Amino acid sequence: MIDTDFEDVEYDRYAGLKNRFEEYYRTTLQPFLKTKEDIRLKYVNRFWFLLLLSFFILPMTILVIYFINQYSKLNIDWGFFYIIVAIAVFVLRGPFAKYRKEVKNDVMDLFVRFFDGFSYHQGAGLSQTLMQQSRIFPDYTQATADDCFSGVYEDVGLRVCEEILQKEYFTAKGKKRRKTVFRGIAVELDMKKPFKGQTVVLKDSGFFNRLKSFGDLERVKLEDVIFEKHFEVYSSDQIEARYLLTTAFMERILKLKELYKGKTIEISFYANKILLAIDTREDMFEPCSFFKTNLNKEKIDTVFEQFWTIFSIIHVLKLNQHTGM
Amino acid sequence: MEKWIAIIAAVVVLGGFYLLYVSLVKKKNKVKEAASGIDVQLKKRYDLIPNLLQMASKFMEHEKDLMTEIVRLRTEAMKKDFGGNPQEAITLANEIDARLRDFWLSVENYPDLKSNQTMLQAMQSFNEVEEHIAAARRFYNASVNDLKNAAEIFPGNVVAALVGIKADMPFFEAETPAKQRVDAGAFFK
Repeated sequence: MIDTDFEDVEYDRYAGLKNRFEEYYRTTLQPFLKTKEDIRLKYVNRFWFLLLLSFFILPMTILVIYFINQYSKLNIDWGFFYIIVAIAVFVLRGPFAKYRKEVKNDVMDLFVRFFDGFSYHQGAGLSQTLMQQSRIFPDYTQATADDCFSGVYEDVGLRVCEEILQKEYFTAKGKKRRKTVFRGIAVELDMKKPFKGQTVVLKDSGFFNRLKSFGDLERVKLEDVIFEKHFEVYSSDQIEARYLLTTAFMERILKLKELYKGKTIEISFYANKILLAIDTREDMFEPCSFFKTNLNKEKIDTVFEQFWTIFSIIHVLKLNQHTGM
Repeated sequence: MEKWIAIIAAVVVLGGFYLLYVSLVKKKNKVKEAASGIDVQLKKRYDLIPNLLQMASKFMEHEKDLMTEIVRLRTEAMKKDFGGNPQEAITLANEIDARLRDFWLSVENYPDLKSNQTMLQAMQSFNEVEEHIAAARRFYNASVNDLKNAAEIFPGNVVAALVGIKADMPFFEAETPAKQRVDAGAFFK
C-alpha cells in the first residue's frame, strides 16, 4: 500500500532526524541520564528494602492477629490485615512515584526539547470538551491523562496525549465497577484546509453500522471501495466531507492504517482540527526503566520511534502542505 | 382465515410500496440538494472570474479573445440553474473549465503576473473553489447513482413508474480536456 517514492522520502527524513538525535543523545541526554543513575539506584534500593520489610511485617501481622484471636479475649477483625496490605502497597509504590517525579519527567522534558519548541506535560490531557465533541472516543466517565506533549512540527500545531478512558458501570449485584474503554493516544493536529462542519471517519463495523446513530451527522458513501471496506464516514455536510476526504486523502488514511498495523484508528475533522484516536492498548513514552539501567539506550530509542510514528501522521496525511488535496 | 391472509398480504404489499416510495422520494430530494450544492459552488467560481480577469487584463493584452470568451460563457452560465437543466449547466461548466485551463496555461507566459501577490491570492481562492466544486460534483454523482439504482431495479422501477419519479439526471462528468483540474498550486512552487 505504501508507495516506494513515499517510503524513500520518509526514510531520508527519518535518517536525517535520527542522525541529529544520536548527536543530541550523546551530548545532552546521555550525560543527564548518568547524573540520574544514582537517584535511580537510591530508589531501587529503597524499594527492595521496603519489599523485604513487607515480607517480614505481613506474615507477622497474620501471626499476631491469629494468636490474639486464639489466646485472648480480644477479637481482631481480618479487615485489619487488609488495611496493613493496602498500606504496604502504598508504601511500595512510593519509590516508583518519586523516581518518576524526579527522573522520568525531567528526562522527557529534555527529550522533547530536541524537537524545537516542543514541551512535555505530565497529566495535562487534551480538552475534555473537544474529545467528547470529536465523537471518536467511546463513552467514558473518567479520563486519566499520562504523558502529553505539544509543539509545532513542520508548521503544523500538534498536541499528543496518552489517555486512559474508563467507564463506570454497575454489576448485577449493584456494585460499582470501572472498565477501560480506551487506552492509547489522542492526537490533535491543526489543519490548513478551512472547514465549518464535522466529519468523522470510524472503523467499519460491518452489519453493526446500521445500529449507529450520530444525530445530526449523516452517513457519507464514498467512491473508494477499499476505503469503504475499512472505514465508514459520517458528516454534517456531504460536500464538505468530500472536500476533506478527497480520493488522495482517502488513500493517505489507508496508508496511516498500514502504519499503525493492528491498531484501531478513528479520525474526526472538527473545529479546524484533525483529532485522531489510536487505541494502542500499551503504555507509551517510557524513556526510563526503574529496575534496569538508564544508560542502555534501548528505551530512549523506542520513545524516539513512537514520536516518529506520530510525526509520520503529518507526512502521510500531508498536513504540512497546502496542495488542496 | 383466508380473509386475514388477504389483509396481511395487502398490508405487506402496501407497506412495501410505501417504504419504496419514501426511499425514492428521499433519494430524489438528495439529488436536488446535491444539484443546489453544485449551483452554490459554481456561483462562487463565477463570482471570482471578473476580479481575476480584471487583474490579468493589465498584463495579458494578447489574450483578449480568450478573456472575452470566458466573460461571455460566465454571463451565460450565470443565467442557468443546475437544478433546472443539469445537462446544459454541465456543458457550460465544462466549457468554462476548458477556457480557464487555457487561461492558467497562458498565465505561465507572463512572469510578472504569475508572481503578483494579488494574483497569487486569487489563484489560491480559485483553487479552493475548484476543490469545493469537485466535492460537490462527487456528492451529486453519488446521489444520482443512488437514485438510478433505486429507480431502475425491480421492484423500485415499478414504484417509480407508478408515482412518476424519473431518474434521468445526467452524471456530472468533467470533459476529457478539462479532466485535469486547474492546478494553481503549481504556481506557488
